[in-house]
Amino acid sequence: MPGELFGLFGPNGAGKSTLVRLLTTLLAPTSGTATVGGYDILRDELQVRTTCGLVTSDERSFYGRLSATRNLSFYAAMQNVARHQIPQRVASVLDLFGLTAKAEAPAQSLSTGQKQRLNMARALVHDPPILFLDEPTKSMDVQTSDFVKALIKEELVGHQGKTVVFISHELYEMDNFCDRVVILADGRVQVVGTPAELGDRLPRRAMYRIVVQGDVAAITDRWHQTDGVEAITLVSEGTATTAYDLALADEATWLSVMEAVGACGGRVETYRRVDDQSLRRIVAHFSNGLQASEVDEDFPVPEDQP
Amino acid sequence: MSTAKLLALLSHNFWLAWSYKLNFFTRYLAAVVAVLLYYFLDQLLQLSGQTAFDEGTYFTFVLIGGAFLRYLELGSHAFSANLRDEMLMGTIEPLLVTATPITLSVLGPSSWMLIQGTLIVIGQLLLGVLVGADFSQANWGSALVVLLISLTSFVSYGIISAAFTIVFKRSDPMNWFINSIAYVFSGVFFPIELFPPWLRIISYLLPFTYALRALRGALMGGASLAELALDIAVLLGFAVVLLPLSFWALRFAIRRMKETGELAHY
Repeated sequence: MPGELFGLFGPNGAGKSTLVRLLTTLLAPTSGTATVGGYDILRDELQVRTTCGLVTSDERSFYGRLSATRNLSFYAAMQNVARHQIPQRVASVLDLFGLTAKAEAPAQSLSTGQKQRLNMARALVHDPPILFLDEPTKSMDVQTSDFVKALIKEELVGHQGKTVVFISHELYEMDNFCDRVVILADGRVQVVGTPAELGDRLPRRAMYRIVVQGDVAAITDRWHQTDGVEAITLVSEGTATTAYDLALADEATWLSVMEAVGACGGRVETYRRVDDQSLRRIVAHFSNGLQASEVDEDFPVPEDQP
Repeated sequence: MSTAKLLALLSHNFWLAWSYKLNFFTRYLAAVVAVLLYYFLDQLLQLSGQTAFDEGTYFTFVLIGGAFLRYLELGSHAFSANLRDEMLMGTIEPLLVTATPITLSVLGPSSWMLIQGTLIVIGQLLLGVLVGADFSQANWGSALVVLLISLTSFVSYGIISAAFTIVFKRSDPMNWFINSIAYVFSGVFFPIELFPPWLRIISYLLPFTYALRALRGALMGGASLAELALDIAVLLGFAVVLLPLSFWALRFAIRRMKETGELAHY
């Protein structure tokens, strides 16, 4: 949809880049077709390419001995930007990505992160309404990545109303970032929706954080033998107490969990229900690529952990 | 818009070539050295008593042949060489996602190389005149017509060569063909009449033989277009066959590349 930040997620080899290369006309489909911005990728190739910009994670895609300005000016001309508008457009995108000071520097002298920002500037130089960003923050440090993601969300999508398709195989990049997410696996779309919608479609599973005292080895052994306990994750170990996240098949299992603690001579210090609608679990469920236990191994710990 | 893009490609590739300054200037230096080579080859022949040669001197004869050969090499090699450079630099894909027809994206980066080749050939001929080449009888109009028609053949070979590069990456049979077969059998350094008749058949199968013969006829003998009609007709015949064939080959290669996604491979 116009003005949307759309996440395309999938494990390595899922077909994300192939899909983007099809939609940007770099590849031809073996059958069928698609439209981008209302243009058919087979019949209206040039219009499709005018309508969109592509950023790949390949930093080796510039004329290294030419300056950033010369590189961008060339691509602007190739994208039908009128000759008299090229200097202004180039200056504008260089400024947007904080590269004005490097405008006359040879592209090969830029750092990896700067090259990736130049890559994004190139995709925007003709001001396309649609952007395909294929792992655009792959080689960036955390600060640069945050800067670029904020720029995408606030400036490009928020202010300029561009449609951005953000491709990544890293979930943390998409959580709390994309408006909608499509999960791709084995070359097929598994599910599309907002993270909240996808969460609602998950089978109900209760997630509890429990802090116990006593022989934790015996307690956890007992939990493992209890029907309905799907995953046990150690959250923190104190001198007297230990905190766990427990994924339970249903609410009824909670009673068995409490009984198990008592049976081992332990004591429940605190417990509370915690959210389990993370994008990580959503992906694990819909892509079938990860087992629930693998997902829970590094289940994100809420900030208010005990 | 295509003219604007062609100019942008020309300017871009000039700056790219200029950024490698030593390489930029050695191309011109090589042309100067070639003229010296032809000059001293001529001196050697004169020592053996051979002064007149094909309506002129051997120096003029070989100067035209050498300049022709350089142009032939450029016309046939420029497209594939530049395309391969773009593949290795990783710049071909960003170019292919611009709103530029693929044919122009693939062939356009060679525009400066072709212009530079023309400048070098002109420079080579002018330098030749300074050291004794005789173009006093030249019919420049006929020479220009022959050159333009010949260029169509050269470019066709170049486009076929680019198609090979897209599909096979490193293999360039066209380049081999030009450097070995055409080099020897087109009469660049000696008249094809020196070949035994059975070997001369190869020469007659090459468009370059007719182009070179017509060019020498115009530049050394002052031949008019009417006098060169037979060679021009043969050249046009080659062009009519080769040009569509070359574009068919390029379209085939591009289609294959888009099906396999291999253009960025090298």
